[in-house]
Amino acid sequence: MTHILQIDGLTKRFHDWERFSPRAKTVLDGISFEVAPGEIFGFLGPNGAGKTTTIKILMGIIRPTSGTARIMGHDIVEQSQQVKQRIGFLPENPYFYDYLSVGEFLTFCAALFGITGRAAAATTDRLLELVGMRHAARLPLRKCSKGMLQRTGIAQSLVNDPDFLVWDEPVSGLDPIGRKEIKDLMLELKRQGKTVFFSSHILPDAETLCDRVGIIVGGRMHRVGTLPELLKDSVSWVEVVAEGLPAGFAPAGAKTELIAGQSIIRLDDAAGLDGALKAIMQAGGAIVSVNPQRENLESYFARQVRSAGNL
Amino acid sequence: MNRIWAIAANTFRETVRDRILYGLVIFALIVLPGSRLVISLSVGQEIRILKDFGYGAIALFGLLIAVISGTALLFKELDKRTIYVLVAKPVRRWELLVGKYFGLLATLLLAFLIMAATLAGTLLLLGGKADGLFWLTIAGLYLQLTVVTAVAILFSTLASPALGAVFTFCVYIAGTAADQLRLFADRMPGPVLRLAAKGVSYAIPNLQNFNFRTESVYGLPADPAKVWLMLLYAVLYAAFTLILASVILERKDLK
Repeated sequence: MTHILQIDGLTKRFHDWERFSPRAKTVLDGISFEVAPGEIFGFLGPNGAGKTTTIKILMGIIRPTSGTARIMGHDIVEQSQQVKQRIGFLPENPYFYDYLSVGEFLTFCAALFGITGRAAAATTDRLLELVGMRHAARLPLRKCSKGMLQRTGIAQSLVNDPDFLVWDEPVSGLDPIGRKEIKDLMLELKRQGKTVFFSSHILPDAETLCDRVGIIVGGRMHRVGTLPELLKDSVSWVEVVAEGLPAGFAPAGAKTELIAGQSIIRLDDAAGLDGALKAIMQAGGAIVSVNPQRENLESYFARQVRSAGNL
Repeated sequence: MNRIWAIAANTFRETVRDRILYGLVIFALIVLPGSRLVISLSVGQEIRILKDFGYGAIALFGLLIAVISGTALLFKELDKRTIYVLVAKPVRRWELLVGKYFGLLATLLLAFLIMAATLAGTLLLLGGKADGLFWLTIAGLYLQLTVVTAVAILFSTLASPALGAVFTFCVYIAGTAADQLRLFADRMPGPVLRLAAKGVSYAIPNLQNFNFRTESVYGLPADPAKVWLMLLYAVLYAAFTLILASVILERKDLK
């Protein structure tokens, strides 16, 4: 097994029978990508792009119209029982049985994996500790805040000590401290050798966490790769720092600012870099550094979505 | 089996913590002893009328619990999206339905025991007795609802709770007149219509198989063959209905 998740030509069409419409709407249009063991993979896309639909298919909540998906080598439709033994799932905006307490809910989830009695109690305690909810074991779920529900959701996704975690918007609705804790937990799970596949709208978080990201737009996979791979061609401007240049020096197509005796030269077009460096040398300047300024994931993402005609 | 047990226990917990259920049982507990006021007008017939009234009340409250809970159980899971967490775990969809079914039967059993004990207590107060026929009649009413609950769960996979409840009530009413429906089907004009009407009349559960009220009220002996038929019929009909519900749920997108 080289990939923990392998999606090939996954397609989903919905019929809107409630409106008596015979035409099917294509929500996923033949997406294909892979996730490697041990990586944190960010599944990014605007609202309605097909992220949650993909995740629902992977979890067996809905069925694909065509295409295949394999988790740890098992087909998600034909061998769903084998798959589900080894995965953990956090749904978007999780809502749980409000008549149960946090502890009762986790014990119930453990029972679905055949973990009962003392083992279930120990698992529940460990997970409550892990997500910082030990004090809330007896708290009814109906009284939990959104952040507490999110933590409970993460705890239940870990009840079977899964190898592969699928989290739908795990940090949405959390305060900055909560977000940091979940991000730290993701990194800890990665350190333990687990694979984390998560969808998110919060791109700076994805940027700091992900080994690779996939961008889905309008039901189609737009880009998949590591952040350096995706951003390598996205140099938006170049900053050259030089010393010993005469006052008012500025190469063609550049702006210069004098700060603490150093000239900070900004080139809006990276193609003009060679010419600018030559001009600096000819003017008797010494080059201190050349800093290509790349787009961050957020602006790259916005550009990709715009180019796909979705903004 | 562990998973079915866990889901059944969770469903039991859900329904016994439901305020509607509490309301129904408390109402039944008021109505059953309160029936003394009605029967005090019927000199010499008190015990018979109390039994008849009591069985009717237990059947009605049991039916309300079965229909309200049975048709809403799956809808609530889908509406609140709690089903996502269940389905993503190694729970087969038929296990989910069967677990919910047994959980609801456990709740019904608890409600039946409370109501039957109240009726038995009222009978004893009036000088009557809760004999074997009394408990057989209660068991018949309970088994009748095991079938109705399976029907309610089947409709919950197909329709909204309101529609499901209407359909289940219709099946219940038709089922309590199943023998008459079969006679009616025999008199339909034309072989095609007759066959179709006969098919429908046999698809509807014959709830008269579960009725021992006449024997209990008038002190007539119960036919042991009818007892066995009742048990077998309940098990087979409920099993078939749940298999059908599972096939439907298996193919359904849980949006």
